Amino acid sequence: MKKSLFFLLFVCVGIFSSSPIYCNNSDKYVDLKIIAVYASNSKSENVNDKAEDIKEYTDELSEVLNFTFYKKLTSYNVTLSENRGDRIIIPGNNEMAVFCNEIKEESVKIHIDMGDFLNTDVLLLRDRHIIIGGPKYKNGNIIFIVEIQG
Amino acid sequence: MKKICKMITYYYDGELSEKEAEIFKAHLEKCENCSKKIKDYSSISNLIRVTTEKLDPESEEIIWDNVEKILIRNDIKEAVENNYNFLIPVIAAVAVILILVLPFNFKTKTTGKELFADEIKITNLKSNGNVFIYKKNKYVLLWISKDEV
Repeated sequence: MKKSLFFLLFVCVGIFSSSPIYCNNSDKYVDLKIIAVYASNSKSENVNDKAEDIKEYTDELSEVLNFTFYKKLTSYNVTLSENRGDRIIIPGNNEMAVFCNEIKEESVKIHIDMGDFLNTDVLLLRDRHIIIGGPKYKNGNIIFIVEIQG
Repeated sequence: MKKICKMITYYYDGELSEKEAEIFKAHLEKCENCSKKIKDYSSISNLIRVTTEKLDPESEEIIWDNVEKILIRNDIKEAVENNYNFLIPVIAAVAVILILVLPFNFKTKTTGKELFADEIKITNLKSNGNVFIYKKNKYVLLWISKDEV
């Protein structure tokens, strides 16, 4: 009888401790990954129209965009906590500021500031990503892929 | 008349003498109530006869098995009632705790779905270029047609 009572007590404690209302929310943070991709139709570029390291994205991009060449320029890892921001230098010597407004279990609310080019709030889900494209770069355009890591 | 009516069961069971039975038979022709009762008894008897017909050994075994199961179940029930009464408040306490705690767990998940409906949301968008938005299940593409950043 004692054993079963202890077991029940253990189960109750387990349920209480796993409940979100008892979780400590002070250590919320999110790892964002921002990939800069160069996209072009120029014949002078090397034939590399489905770059392997970004293939999962180029397949998606090909659904909507008519570029024949994609190349990963660089990627950035940004760790943010709630109400914190960071700035990164993007190709073309410009800045992208990312500010984290809210972190939830399944989503993150961020603010992306690229000056006059783009200024927006984004509710980003954990297994989804946002693709921002358009700025001219060399013979093509730059595309940024923003996603939550982990 | 009422006295005769009381004899109905004796008549039906064949416990009346021949003379008494004759008298009651004559009574039945006049008394609708007794006549109806006799018919009812008869129909009930038919029903009971059906159920008490001799069963084949296999069916009998099944019936006794079921009886045994019912007896065992009753024994368990009795044992639980007598020996495990202390579990009732414990189970009730656990149920109350679960009722209190589980909605919080569910709330977290459903809130996410309600808010975002499984899709990325773009709000407060400002740009001095022309913005094209393409939404897919896994991603949202924002294409801004402007010369430079």
